[in-house]
Amino acid sequence: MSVSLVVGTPKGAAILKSDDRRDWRSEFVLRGWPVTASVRDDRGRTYVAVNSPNYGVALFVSDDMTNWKQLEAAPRYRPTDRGNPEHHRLIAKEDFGGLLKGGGRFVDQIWTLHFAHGALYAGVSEAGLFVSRDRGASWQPIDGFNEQKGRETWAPGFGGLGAHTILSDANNPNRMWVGVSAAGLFRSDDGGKTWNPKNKGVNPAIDSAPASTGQCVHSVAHDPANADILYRQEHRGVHKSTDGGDSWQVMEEGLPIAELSDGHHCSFGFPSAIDLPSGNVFIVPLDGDNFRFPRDGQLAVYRSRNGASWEPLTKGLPANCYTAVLRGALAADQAGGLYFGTASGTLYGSDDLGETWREMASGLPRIMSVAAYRA
Amino acid sequence: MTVRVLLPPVLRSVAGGARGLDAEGSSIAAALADLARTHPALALHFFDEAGAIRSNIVFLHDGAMIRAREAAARRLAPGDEIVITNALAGG
Repeated sequence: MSVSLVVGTPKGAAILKSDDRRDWRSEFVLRGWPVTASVRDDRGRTYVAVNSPNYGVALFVSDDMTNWKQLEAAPRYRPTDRGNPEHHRLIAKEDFGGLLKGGGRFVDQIWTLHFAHGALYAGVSEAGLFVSRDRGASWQPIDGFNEQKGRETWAPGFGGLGAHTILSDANNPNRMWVGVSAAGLFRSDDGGKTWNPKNKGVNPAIDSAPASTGQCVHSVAHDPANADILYRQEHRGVHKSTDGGDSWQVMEEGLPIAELSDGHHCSFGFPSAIDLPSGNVFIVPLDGDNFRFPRDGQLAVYRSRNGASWEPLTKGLPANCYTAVLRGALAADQAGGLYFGTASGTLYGSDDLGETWREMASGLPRIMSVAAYRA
Repeated sequence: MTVRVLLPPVLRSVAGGARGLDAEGSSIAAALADLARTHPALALHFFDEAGAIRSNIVFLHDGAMIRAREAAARRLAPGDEIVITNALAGG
């Protein structure tokens, strides 16, 4: 089986290719561009999002994973859109020229790309949702999401106010979910015209945050063909929903429970992924929001096979490991293969649903995103 | 009036690997606008949502450092060379 990986870092992307998931060929492309997200469409074109504090956000595409061409369009807000002051405060350290002083709303990063029902979607920060129906040649803001009532109450997470998760329903093109840090998960049932918070049963990120839109969702995984069963890695723990997000229950049996900086006890981590053939769900817990490294230094992926509890998978993963795995840095190839990269630039892979792991690459910059494609 | 615009390494991949490009314009801003016309993929990187030159871009011209907000007023002579760089951080 042939698999290709796009491993995004602040200095470019490592492209790894293998015909057997054992021997990998690697090259480093898009040098100098922070690579934040990737997706492949139904015709085999791979899209990669890049951003630069100096030169803005753009997308590169490739039909062969070797030759890359930048698209002429990218998601952009209107000049009249107004920005979130707290988000501006968080990203101001890279605003040498004073752009943010004007108070506008800007796309400073594409956090996620998603393809569904013939359309390409981008989730961005400052938090917003954009769609392209012409393979990235033009982008339109989804105003129903971007201008929704209540947006003024959204507060950014530590990494800014970003829309980092997009999910869709393979059987219902009108249903979508978008996750925003730190405003929670939102769902549309009418093709993006209107959106509602779906955070019932999930603690707000801090007790003073709004009960309906104060949740710091970190990632959400599901099977698009069975879309209403959702697994959610939150700042405050892991949750599951069986009703499309209308309600959530804590799902932490088997996970390391940490004391967060506010005294709350729960599991903590960022990425999540699902292997569609088996239905297995994977997360990478960290030892709370203070430490943000694996408990006792043992790097571990946790797997749920029954949708109710978790088991640690550590064979082949290092002890004495005090790094993190970021939100976008875990991916499944949908044939039992899992891949994740660390904030210290090491890439690990498994071809047996996480039972055993191998180091695939090291010495990379901080790994921000990993995407896996068959063939 | 033809001038030469030198690209930073990160933008060369957007311009087919070219280190520099010829542009028409009597000011830095006009030369940049011409490049955005002849190489549309570069426009995203030169101009922000409001159409202004990105505020973190800095130009080097005739021994002087020119900020983005000064680019429209900076006059050019035929054959001039403009270096596109950016605000630097770090030590």
